[in-house]
Amino acid sequence: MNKTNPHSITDAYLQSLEGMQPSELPPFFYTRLKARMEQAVEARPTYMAKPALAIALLALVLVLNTVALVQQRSAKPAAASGTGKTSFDSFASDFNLSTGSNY
Amino acid sequence: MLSEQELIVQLRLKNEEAFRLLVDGYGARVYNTVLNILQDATEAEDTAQEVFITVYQSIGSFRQEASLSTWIYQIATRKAIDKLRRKKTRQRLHSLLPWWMPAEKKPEFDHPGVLLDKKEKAATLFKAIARLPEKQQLAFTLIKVQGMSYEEAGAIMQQGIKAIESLVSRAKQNLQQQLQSLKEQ
Repeated sequence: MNKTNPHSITDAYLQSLEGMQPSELPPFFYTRLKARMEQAVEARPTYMAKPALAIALLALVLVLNTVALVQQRSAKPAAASGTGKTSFDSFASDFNLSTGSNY
Repeated sequence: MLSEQELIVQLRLKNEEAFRLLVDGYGARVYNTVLNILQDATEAEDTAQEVFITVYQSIGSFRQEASLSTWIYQIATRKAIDKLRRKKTRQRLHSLLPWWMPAEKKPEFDHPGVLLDKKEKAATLFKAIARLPEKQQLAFTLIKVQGMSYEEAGAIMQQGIKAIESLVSRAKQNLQQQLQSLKEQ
């Protein structure tokens, strides 16, 4: 029998769908859909919604960091080239402290 | 009553009444399509909502190469297939790492529209359909379960009629084996 109709079992099972009624939309589908759409709009952070703005903010943070790093590096050699001693002396004289050697 | 063209124009203007008309007109069809593919009422409602949100957001990019109905069905089937893929990935992960990915216990699908005396057979058929390869499952569901024509299914799946016929034929062969083994269990 299977040789004459290779899909006999499938056809038999397909008969179970005969007279099948399409499902109705769940109740309050539209209300829930609208609520979901409104929620999505409220939940979306506006600055992240605009990629150009987000990238510009990120670039600004990177530039500020780079500037801060460059300034820090250029300040270090100045501190190392003797100005440290001068500032120490002025600090000591401001507070009447002796900076002379004990020996 | 708005024509399809007027409806598209109003949707592009974000007219809420037009959106309501769209959901009233296509809601049940979209819901039934995703329900037949996903075989889960809760997931079907969630997916149907996502379909309408996508339609609302993307109507501006709809180029009208197909009818509005075909475009909506394309979004619906794509979203449903994506969900099926994610579900299959979770199942695979569960079989590999059961302690990390908990099993999803899903009851047998009971289609609400099936006649009472045919429910048992229909549940077995849906179980077998769910085991088909993705494209065969989609083509078979659209044509044999949903009752679409080969032309409509072809337009939705963006395939020629011959390809759809071949998919349905292979689906039937696979179902024959699946149903045979399910019957013997």
